[in-house]
Amino acid sequence: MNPASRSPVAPVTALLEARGVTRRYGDGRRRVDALRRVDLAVPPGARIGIVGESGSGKSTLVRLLAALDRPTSGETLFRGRRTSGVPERGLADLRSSVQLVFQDPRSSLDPRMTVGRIVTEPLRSRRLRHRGDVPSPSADRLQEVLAGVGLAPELAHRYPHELSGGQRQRVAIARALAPDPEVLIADEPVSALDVAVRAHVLNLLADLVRARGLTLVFVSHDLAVVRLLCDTVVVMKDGVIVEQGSMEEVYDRPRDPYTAALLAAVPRLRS
Amino acid sequence: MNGLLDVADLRVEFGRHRAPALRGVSFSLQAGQRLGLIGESGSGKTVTALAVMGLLPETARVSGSVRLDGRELVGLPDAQFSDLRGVAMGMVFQEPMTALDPTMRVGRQVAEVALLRGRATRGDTRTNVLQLLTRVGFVDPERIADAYPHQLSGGQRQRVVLAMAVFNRPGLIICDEPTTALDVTVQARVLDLLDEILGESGAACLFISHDLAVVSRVCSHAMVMLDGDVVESGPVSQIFAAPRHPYTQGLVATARLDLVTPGERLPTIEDYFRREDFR
Amino acid sequence: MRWINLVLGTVLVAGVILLGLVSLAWTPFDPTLVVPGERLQPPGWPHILGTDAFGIDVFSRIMAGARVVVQVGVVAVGLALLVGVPLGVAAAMSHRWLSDLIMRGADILYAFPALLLAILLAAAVGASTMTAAVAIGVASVPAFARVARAATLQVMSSDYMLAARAAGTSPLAAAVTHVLPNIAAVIWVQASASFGMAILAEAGLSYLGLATPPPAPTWGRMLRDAQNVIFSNPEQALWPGLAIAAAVLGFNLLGDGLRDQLDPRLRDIS
Repeated sequence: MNPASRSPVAPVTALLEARGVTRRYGDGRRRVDALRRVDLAVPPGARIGIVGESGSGKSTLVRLLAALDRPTSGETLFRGRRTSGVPERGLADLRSSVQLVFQDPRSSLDPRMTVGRIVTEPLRSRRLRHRGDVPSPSADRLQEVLAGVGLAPELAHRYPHELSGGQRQRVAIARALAPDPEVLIADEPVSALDVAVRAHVLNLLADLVRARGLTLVFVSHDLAVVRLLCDTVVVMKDGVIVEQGSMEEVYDRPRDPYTAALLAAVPRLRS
Repeated sequence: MNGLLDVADLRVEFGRHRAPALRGVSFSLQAGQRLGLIGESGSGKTVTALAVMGLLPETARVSGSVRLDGRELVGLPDAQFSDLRGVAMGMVFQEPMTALDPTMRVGRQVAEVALLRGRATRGDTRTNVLQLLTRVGFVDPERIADAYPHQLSGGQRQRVVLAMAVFNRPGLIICDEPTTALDVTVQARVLDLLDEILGESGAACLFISHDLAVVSRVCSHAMVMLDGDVVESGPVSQIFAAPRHPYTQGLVATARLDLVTPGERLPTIEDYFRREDFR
Repeated sequence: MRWINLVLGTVLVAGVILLGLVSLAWTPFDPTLVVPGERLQPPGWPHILGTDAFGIDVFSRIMAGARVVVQVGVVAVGLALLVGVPLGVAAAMSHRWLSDLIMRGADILYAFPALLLAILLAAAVGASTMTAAVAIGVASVPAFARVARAATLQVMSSDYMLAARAAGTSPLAAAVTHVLPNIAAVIWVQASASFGMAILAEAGLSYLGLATPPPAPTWGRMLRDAQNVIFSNPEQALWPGLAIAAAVLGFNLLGDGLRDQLDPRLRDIS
């Protein structure tokens, strides 16, 4: 579409990009614009936090970036190539490079699959294997991935309901990391967890991002959590981006009143 | 001890093959006092609340004593418990949708709580309902009263449940993770509202949460539970400033995200406390 | 409590199947042998359930009837499963227009009674156990399609389906690895209920003479024969009636019991 995006002299091609995306649900009187002409670029190696309340459009935005949903208008790109309006078989590159972790592992893990089968699912996909360097779904790889998220090898034979909340989320992270992705999109990965478990999962994510040089897109309603993992933050409200900048800048000197309100709402120990 | 709520040596077991859910819990709540019950899932904090409300499943074996205003609640027939719930004690749960009937307009549900007591007449109930909805922060109580639960947001629903819990001016309000399912901003508003309502009505509150920060926003006292035992209790300020039990120290450390420098490892409970060493 | 369902259901169903199997090799008397001198004997020895208005041994007829019941149930439910479930899953997973097309087709079929279908089939190729089974099976397809579609839609809304897409799993692979295992419990319940329905329907069709042709004994024909002597010998209707009721109940209980056992989440709550 846009010739500039294909130009070889473009400075740094964003890994993931949204250009003027709008996502509309329903029609007529019940029409809701979950996103309104949002632009966002995720450069390689970035750690971007997307913050907002439920209904702000943050989850919709990452689902569009991951090509799990289609924008009503506008386009999404991966490595400068269009991913919106592209049939599933044209998305092999994106699918093998971008993985997701969802909020509630009770919903994101198939209750009838063992942990081992869940974690190796991306490795068994013919589409992903197309990439060539995707690890094979071997027992060794499974053990390696489980060990990488701090899970004992014998858990591979368990079912999700036999695990604790923290273990379940580790399984979800293991699945995301199994195909060695470049980008990890985490959609509220700690919101359904106890505070005590939260620390473990956040430490794990931070370690993995650092060790593997992952590009991270981290969605949360809690700025305090985002601050720990991200260097850039995008604040969303009612389907638009209201503020965007370096984490430090936004956390210490929020420009938008909504950002300030979000910061004030963070629960703190009253001493 | 002669408080509003006196719990003494409360033990709860579910079946012989499982570890006891409560291993002899004792505490006392004075009128108007706000006590936070802190612990992870499985610590027994919710079982404690259910025991006080008489909502434990029939398979539970309960011993010990729970006294509300001097009246023994352990072994009380369910019919008499129903008379207490909503009248002598109000309840707010984590998921407001389970507390609300999806097929009934919000106003009628709030009014039903009023009719529980039997003294309200239908005429002034509507006025009362609207007043109460205004008091829990709705600027358009008429619209809320005529709406069905699914037409409201999570925060709005929780405010409605709060309105129902305080309608009959109970001496005790029990909140079980009331804001865990909500966004931080909505959580902050609901907690402020709870604080305000408790202040106005002078009701005591038993507040259950896994989040110390949330407890510190509402409660004056806190009690930390672990595997069915109380490991520490006292004024919130003391527990948070100088926790004595290693488990509490770990909890306090994990709750202080604001003290962590980005890029640094977050403290975890296990840095302070290992279960293997404890039992 | 749940064990009782499963055990009782298994016993009843196994009883029906066993009776049918044994009848292939052996019955106390010839289930088609008319003995005019032994009409309407009361239960006793050697006719443990007595004889009917033709002097045929009732227990032997019940045994031979069980064979037909099992045959009709397996064919009808098998057909409905094999056609209905893939259609329902496909409807839930495909585009709106295709989904609408499948479900409107199912609605039309639903409005078309099994009885009419059985009459048409009987007229075209002659009434037999098979035509009845096929008619019942075809008529059950929409029910399976609907149940499968509703259950699949629920699975589709879960995050693990989203995760599967993100992992590059193709729709067909997702249907096999995620959808089918997760809707199996509902389908089992539907299948066992349909099995019971098929038994009832076959009894009705053979009562009307639209299924297994005489002289082969079926429970439905036994009911029809009993009709002539219903006031003088009501027990003649009792035996096939009990057999039908026990078989239908057995399959329903088995379905419920299976559902409880198949769900790994329910299995641990006991």
